[in-house]
Amino acid sequence: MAKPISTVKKLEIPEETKHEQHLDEVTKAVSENKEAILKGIELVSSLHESGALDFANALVKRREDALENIITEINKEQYASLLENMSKLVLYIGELNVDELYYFTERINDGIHEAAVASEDSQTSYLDLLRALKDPQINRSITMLLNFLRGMGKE
Amino acid sequence: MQEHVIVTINGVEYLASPGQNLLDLMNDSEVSVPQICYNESLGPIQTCDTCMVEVDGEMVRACGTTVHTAMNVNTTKDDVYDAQKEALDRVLEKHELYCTVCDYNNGTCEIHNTIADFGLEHQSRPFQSKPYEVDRSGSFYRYDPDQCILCGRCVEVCQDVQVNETLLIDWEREQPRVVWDNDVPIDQSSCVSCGQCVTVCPCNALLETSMEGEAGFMTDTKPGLLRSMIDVTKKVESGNGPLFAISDTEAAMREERIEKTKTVCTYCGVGCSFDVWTKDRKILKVEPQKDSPANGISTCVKGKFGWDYVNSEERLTKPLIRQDDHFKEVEWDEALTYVANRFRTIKEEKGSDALGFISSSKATNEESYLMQKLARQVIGTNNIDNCSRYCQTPATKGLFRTVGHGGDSGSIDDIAEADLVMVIGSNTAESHPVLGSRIKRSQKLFGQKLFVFDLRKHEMAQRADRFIQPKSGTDLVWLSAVTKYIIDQGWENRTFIDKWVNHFDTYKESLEKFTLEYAEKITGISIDTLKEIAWEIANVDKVAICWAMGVTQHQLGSDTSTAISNLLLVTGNYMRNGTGAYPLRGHNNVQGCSDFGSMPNFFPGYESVEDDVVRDRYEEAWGTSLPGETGKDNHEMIHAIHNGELSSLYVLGEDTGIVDANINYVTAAFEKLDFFVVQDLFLTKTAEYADVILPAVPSLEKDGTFTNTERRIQRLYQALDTYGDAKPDWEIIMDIASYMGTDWQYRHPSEIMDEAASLAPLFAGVSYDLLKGYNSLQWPVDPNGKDTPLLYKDGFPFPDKKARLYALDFDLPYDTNEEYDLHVNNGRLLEHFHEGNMTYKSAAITRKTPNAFIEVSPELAKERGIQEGAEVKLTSHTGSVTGMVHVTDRVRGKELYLPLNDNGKTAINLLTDNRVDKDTNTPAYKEVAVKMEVIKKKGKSPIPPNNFRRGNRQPQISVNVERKWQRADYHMPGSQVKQDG
Repeated sequence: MAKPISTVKKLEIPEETKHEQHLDEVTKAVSENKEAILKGIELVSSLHESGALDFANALVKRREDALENIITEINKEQYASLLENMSKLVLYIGELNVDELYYFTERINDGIHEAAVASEDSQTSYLDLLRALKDPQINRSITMLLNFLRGMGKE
Repeated sequence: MQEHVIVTINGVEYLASPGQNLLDLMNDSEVSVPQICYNESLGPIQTCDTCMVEVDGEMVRACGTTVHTAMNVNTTKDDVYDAQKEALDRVLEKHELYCTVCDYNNGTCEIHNTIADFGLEHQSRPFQSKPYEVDRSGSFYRYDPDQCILCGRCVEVCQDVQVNETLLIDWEREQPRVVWDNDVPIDQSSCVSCGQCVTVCPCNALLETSMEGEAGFMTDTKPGLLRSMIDVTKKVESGNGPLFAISDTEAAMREERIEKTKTVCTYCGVGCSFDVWTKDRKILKVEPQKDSPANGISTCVKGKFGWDYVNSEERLTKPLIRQDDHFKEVEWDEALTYVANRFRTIKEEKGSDALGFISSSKATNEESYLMQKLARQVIGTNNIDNCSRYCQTPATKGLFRTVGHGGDSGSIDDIAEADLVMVIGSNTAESHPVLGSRIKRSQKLFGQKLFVFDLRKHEMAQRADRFIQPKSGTDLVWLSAVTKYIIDQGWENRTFIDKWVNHFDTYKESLEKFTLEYAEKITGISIDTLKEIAWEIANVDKVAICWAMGVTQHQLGSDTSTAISNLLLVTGNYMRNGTGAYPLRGHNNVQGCSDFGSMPNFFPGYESVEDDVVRDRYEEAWGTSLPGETGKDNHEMIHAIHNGELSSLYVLGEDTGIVDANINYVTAAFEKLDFFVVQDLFLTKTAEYADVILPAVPSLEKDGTFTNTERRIQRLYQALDTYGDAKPDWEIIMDIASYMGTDWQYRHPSEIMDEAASLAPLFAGVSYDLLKGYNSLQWPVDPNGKDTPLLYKDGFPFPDKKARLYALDFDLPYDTNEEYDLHVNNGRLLEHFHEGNMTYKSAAITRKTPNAFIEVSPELAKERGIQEGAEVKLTSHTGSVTGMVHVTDRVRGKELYLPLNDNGKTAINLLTDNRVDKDTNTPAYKEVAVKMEVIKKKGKSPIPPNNFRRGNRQPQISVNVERKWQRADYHMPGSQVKQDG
């Protein structure tokens, strides 16, 4: 005669057994992934040595606060143009013709070099200027700048 | 008839079918054009204006255009581009792109994808916030008007697919928005929470509550912070390119964390399939697919939102063994050893037939197969049955007698295609919601006629073209009288009968008794009405008849099912699409459980256990001799326990102590058992009587197949890890066999299916390979894998290929009387399932529908002096229930309605008795006479104010986009561009 019952006595699994079961699972996983685990240890070790581990640990634990602080801060009006500029800057860089810019920059660097070694005291008269046009190096520079100005003014 | 139309698009000629939608043609032909409101499953709605193209020199919406001969389409001109861009700009004015922190950023946002495909880098006008709060009143989903682009898909699906007619767009207000009913919060509306509006929403305007803050990596932040993040996101991601690069990366990361697994619904027999999204054990959402064969994009509240039971803390996690006054948890080894020893001892001492086995319609086909294999091969008994005994066996019987296959004649598509659908004893809108919606849609949009025969004025009845209320249990009479009248008038389908039907003359003779006068007297349907029904049936081309428990759960359930099939045969309504017999199966796998042999008289595939040839085949395969006599069905098993013939019972996934009739008698039997094993997810009422309870897993935690009402076999894939130490039923059954010394060694359910297919000709070609993903097979399946969506196309499965008319008589030994003067009708509710073991675990569903109730007609309430919320006690000659009264004109006179979804003091089966269908032993659940005692005259209504039954539906067709076009501030994008230009 089985009367209806609904009480359940839970099976108490001793802590030690649970502990052993968990250890078994972990050991199995470690053994199956030996290479990855060893590399992981190496990575963690270098992170630890550099102090990055402590930093990351603290940041993850406080991520809610960190996120809120940062987001609230950068959402302020004063950063609006910075944020916009940041992304616009990315677009701007995309527009540049790097090959030509490289050539141009090289010239500018040479100019800077010359300027730096020239004597600070020397002065240039109006006639010196005219004479200088005959110097092929200066003439090349002036021509390049004039072409630059023409390009810049294009509609 | 013209077979195709040639359409030129951008100078290239394409073949279109006549009447084809232009956008549909372009999508098929991979001509790229933006589109947001268009959805293949819904058809054109014409609200988003993004698919503007030039047709014969005119700017038009492609989705609003039907192809014609020599049509010339251009999608590349500048003004076409400008018009499309203008439309997309308008969309972005209404919808803020903060994809990276949006829960809908899962790769499927149609706004995101359309803008990205179009390559729109910058929007011309900024996003404009709308003056409405987010509606979070409902438990299942929320609406954010600020993100809503008014595409109207939700309205279309609500009005014309689900046909619940709750959602509208109020186009006339300054800022149009979607409204529920006459502009009430979602929770207070007529919304039945089918979730289809959320499924079809192209963005995050409508979102499952379970997705909020869960789907993304950065979406679970507090609202204020989220707003800041949205702002920062927009500043950093200036322009859509960078925004999409970052949000697409985040979406890809989500793929790593969210699993999407195809499964099949575990509630009713419609067999909806869908992807379930899970994150660890959390169920984020259910996403039906356009390729879901039975349901397409549709679901009901249970399939979409009713999965909480899977993670219920009440789940059993370890086997339990009865010890004195409690159950103690044990390890599997101990439980299995105990079960195997007890089974063995009882078998040795009392013989194989002292043990009984009950399978579950919740379990898979493979599990049904193993349960009957355990009973037959390992124990050696045919005492194996399943819960279809409680509902469906009479329908199967009626079909076997007449047409030879125990299943629906065709598919749900065929029901939708019929000219006339007759629904008899089925509240389809609540019991088979997605299938009911197909009928509602065909009736609303395509001129299908709907005749409903029922006691109760449920939703289908309210919508019917004709609603007829025969006296309870008398359907056989009007069916036969109508058939007789059709024959008498010479309206029968003579050609069909001559070619395909036997026994016409003897059948005709048997109809003598069923005159119109006799039918009027017995059923209460007037002679004129009967004549009209007969005329309508005889004068339409395609008739489909759906029926359910209102027919089968009577003492004449099998005979009435037979009468339905007789009528269909006489009028030639078999063998063609759009016609046939549709006994709507009630559980996800009630069809499959019987199909795969959990029946006392059949091996898998409905082959008799008494047939020596068949038995030889199984004996050879299983290497043992098998019992050759029909075993006991559920009902007989319970009697046999009382008689001392049955000592052991093993019940799998069935709360027999609640769902069988006359439960006082059933539970008294449980108490007499020597040994009782129950296998379930929960410690059910039935399990409380068990000696051993074995913890099983639900559908989401296992692989297998279910067979729906269309005979459609569909695969479910494991979506979650098993819970605790619980195991799939097939593994448990296999373990029991193994502990009893029979080692089956199946590694996967597919191997069980292979074995079943090799033995049962009905499933000869079934294999898991053919059932991958959303593929399905409708039995019979030939050895080459060809399935049968429509039965009987080439004849009926009898030796001469002819169907058989079956003569019937009528003698109903049930009625109310002076003492028990009220008739209790009973059945399902939309929101709850069966005894409620699963759905009451959902807090959201329970919040809307907290308990069962007793429906009382206004006239009876007046007569007994009671009002809404009264408490009454109903007493039948077997027992009594108490419950709260809901006064409604859904019931009339002295008929009451009691939903069956309760396992407490309002459980219907405290009232039902041992009367059964004379041919199948299915309990006559629907024949209950009671007397009513008033405990309290009025009180709080058992139906809360936020129940959909209190809502106020707003029927219309589609979204009324014309009202948008009539607004003073509306210009069609193409026209505006031209004016501006």
